[in-house]
Amino acid sequence: MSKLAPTLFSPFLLMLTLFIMQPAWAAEGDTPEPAGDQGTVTTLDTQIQDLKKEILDLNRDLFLLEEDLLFPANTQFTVFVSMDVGITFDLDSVQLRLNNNVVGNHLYTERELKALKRGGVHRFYTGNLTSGEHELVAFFVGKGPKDRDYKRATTVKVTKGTEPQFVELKISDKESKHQPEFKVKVWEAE
Amino acid sequence: MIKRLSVSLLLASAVLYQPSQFVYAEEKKETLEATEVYDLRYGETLFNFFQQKYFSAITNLMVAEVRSPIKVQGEDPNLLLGGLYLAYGMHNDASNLFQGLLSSDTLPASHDRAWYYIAKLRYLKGYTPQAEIALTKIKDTLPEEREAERLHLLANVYMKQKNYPKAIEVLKNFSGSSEWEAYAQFNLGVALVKAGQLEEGTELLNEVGDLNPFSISHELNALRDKANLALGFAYMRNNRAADATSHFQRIRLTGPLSNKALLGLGWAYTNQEQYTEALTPWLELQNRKALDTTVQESLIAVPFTIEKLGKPRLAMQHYQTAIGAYAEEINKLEDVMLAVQRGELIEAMRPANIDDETSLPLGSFGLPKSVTAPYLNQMMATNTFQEAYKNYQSLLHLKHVLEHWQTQLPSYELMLSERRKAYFTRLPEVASDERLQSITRIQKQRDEYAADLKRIKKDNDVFGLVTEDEDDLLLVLTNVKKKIDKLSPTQDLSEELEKYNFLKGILAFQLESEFIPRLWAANNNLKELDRALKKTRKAKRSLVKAANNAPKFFEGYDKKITWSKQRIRNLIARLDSAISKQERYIQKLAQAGLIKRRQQLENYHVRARFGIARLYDSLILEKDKKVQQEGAEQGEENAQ
Repeated sequence: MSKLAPTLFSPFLLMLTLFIMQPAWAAEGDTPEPAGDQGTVTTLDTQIQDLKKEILDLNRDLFLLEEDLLFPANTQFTVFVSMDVGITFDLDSVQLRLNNNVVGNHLYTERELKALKRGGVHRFYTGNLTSGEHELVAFFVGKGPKDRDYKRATTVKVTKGTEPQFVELKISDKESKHQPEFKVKVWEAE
Repeated sequence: MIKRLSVSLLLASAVLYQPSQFVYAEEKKETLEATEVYDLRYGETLFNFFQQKYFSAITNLMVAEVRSPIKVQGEDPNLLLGGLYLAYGMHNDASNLFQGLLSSDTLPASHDRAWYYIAKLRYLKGYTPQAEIALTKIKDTLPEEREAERLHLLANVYMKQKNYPKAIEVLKNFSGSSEWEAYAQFNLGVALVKAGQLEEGTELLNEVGDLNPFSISHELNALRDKANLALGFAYMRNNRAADATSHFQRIRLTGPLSNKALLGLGWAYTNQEQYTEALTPWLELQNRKALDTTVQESLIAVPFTIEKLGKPRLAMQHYQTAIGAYAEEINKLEDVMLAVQRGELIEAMRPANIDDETSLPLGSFGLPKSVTAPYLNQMMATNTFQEAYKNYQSLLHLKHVLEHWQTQLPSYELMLSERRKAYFTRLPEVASDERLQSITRIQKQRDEYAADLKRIKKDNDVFGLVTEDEDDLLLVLTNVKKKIDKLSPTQDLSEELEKYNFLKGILAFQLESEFIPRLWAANNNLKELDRALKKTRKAKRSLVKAANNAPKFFEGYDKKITWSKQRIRNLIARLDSAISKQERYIQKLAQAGLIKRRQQLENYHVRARFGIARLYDSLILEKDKKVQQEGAEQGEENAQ
C-alpha cells in the first residue's frame, strides 16, 4: 500500500470506531454535545420536565372544571366503545343515536383500531341526560366475515338516575357462528 | 369483561430510544397474552397510550385519581403511570413514583417491576453501578419476556463496567427469546472486540452473523447485517482483510448498511492488492445517492485504486470528477448552513397539525427547498437529535394545549355569568312562590284538624266524621224535626215522628259502624299531610341553603378560572422561553453536524487536489525523464 493509503483510510477507520460503539439499543450517546453545552442541555431538559408536570397538573384541573360545568354528575352520560379481538369484524365507523337524535359519529383511523384491538377503550360520547328512560341506538359499520359490507344496529333502553352513567358498546367475536357480536353493558357508577 | 393485552412489555419498550429496538418491540406486541381489565378509565388510558398519546393517557389517570382511583385493576395503575412518565420523557417524576412504590405496601410483582424501571432509568442516566444494584433486587415475578430484557440490561451493565466475564456468564444463562439473545450476543461481541479480545468477540458475532437470513425476522436480519459489518471492520483493524471480505459480502445489498459494506469491501480488496475487484463495489457505490459519506469516500478511493492499476491519466480524470463533486457539495452545504441559520429548519420542524399530540416520526416534516435533506438526515438519525426533536414537539404541543384552554375559559366565564344571572333572577320568584309561603298556614290548619280528631276520638263523636252527603242528610233531618215539633200541637204527626226516628236511627247506626274505619282513615290522612309538609319544608330548606351557598359556588368557580388564567399566562411565558432555547439548541446541533460534514468534505477535496498534484508531478517527472532519456539517446546517436 502506498504512503497515501493510511491517510485515505482514516475516515473509514473513524467510521469503523463509531460504528462498533453503537450496538443495538444499548448504544451510548452517539453525537457529542457541542463543547461546554452538556450542563445547559441538562438544565433545559429539567426545565422541560418541570413544565410538563405543571401543565399536566393544570390540564387535569381544567379538565375537571370543564366536566363539572358542562356535564354535572347528576346528568352525566358517557358512552364507550371497546373491541374484543375483532377477527370477524373490521370496524369502520360508529353512529350513536339517543332518543332518535344523532349525537355522535366517529370514523376510526388505523391507529385507533389497533389501540381498540389491543384492549383500549374509546370514550365515544359524553353528554347530559335527564332522569328517566331513554333509548340508545348504536350503528356499527365495517367489513364482516368474507370481507362483506356489514352494518348492524344495537338498541338498548337505559334508565338514567341521578348518578353519572357509563355505557359500554362492545364488539366481540362470536366464535361458534363466526359472526361479530355487539353487546351493550351499563356500568354502575362507583 | 374486557379482554386486554398486558401492558408490561409495551411500557418497557416505550422508554427505549433506539428506533431499531422500538420496531422490535412493536413487532412483539401482537403476540402478547391477553389479560382481563375491569375499569373503563384504565381502558381509556390504554387507548391513548397505544396511540402514543402519552399526555392524554397521563391526564386520564390523573383525573381518575381525583374522581375515584382505579382499584380493581390487576396491574398497579401507578406502574402504568410511571411507565407513561418515562415514555413522555419525565424521568424525574417516573423515578420518584417508582421509589414511592418501593416504599409502599405493594405486591412483590409491582416491586420487581418498579426495580426494573429504576434500573433502566439509572442505566439511561449513566449510573451503571446503581443500575446493577437495582437489577439484582428483582426477584422472580417478572414475565418471561421481561426477564429476558432484564438479563439483556444486566449484560449491558457489565459491559459498560468492562466486566466481560460477568457479561458472558449472564449470556450463558440466557433463557429468553432468540431475539433478545441475539441482541445480547451482538452487544457482547462488539464490546469484546472493542476491548481487544478479538477471538472471543468474533466468535459471538459470528453466531449472529451466521443466522440464516431467510428464516429470521426483518429485525434479526438487520442485526445480522450489523454483526457482519462489525466483524468486517474488526478484521480490517487487525489486518485480516481476507476474513473481512467474506463478512462484508454477507451483508444485504439493499439494506441500510449496504453502502458501508460496499465501501468496506472495496478497502478489503485494496488491502489484498486486488485493485480491479475493489473497483466493483466502489463503482456500484457511485451509482447511489451522492450525498452519502460512503459514496463521497468512494469518489476518492476509485482514482486511488486506478492509480494502483497503473493508469494515472484515468485516475486523474476521476480525481477531477471527485473535486467537482466535492466543490459542489461544499457549496450546497454552505446553503444548508445558511438556511439553518435563517431558521428554515426550525420552521420546517413545526408540525402542520399540532392538534395531533402523537409524536410525529422524525423526517415526517418537509424540509424547505433551500435545505438539502440528506445532509441533515444522517444527523437526525442520532439519539441526541431525536430527543431534541421530541422535546421540541412536546413543547409545541403543550403550548397548543394551553392556548386551547385560554380560548375555552372565557366561554366558561360567560356560562357561569349566565347561570348566576338566571339563578338570581329565579331565586326571588321561587322564594315568593305561594306554595312555599303557605306552609305556616297549612301547618296551623293541620294542627286544628289534629286537635279536632283528638276530641272526636275522645268523645267518641260519631257525627264528627260525617261526609258531606251525610251532613246534608243530618241537616234535612234536623229541619224535619223542627217542623214536626212546630206542627205537633195542632196535628197528629206521630207517624212522621216515627219515620223521622227510624231514619235518624239508620243514619246513627251507619255512622256508628263506620266510625272506627273513618277514624283510622282520618289519622292516615293526617300522617300523609305531615309527610307532605316535611317534604315541603325540606325543599324550602334546600332552597334556602342553595340560595345561601350560591354566591360561594359561583365564587369558587370564578376563583378557579381566574387562578387558571394566571397559571396559563405564566406557563405560556415559560414555554416560550423553553421553546426558544430548544430551537437554539437544535440549530446548534444541526450546525455542529454540518460543520463536521463540511470539514470531512474539505478534507476529501484537499486530498483529491493533492492526488492530482502528485499525479501531475509524477507525469511531469516521467515526461522530463522521458525527454532526458530521449535527449540522452539523441546525444548518443549524434555521438555515433
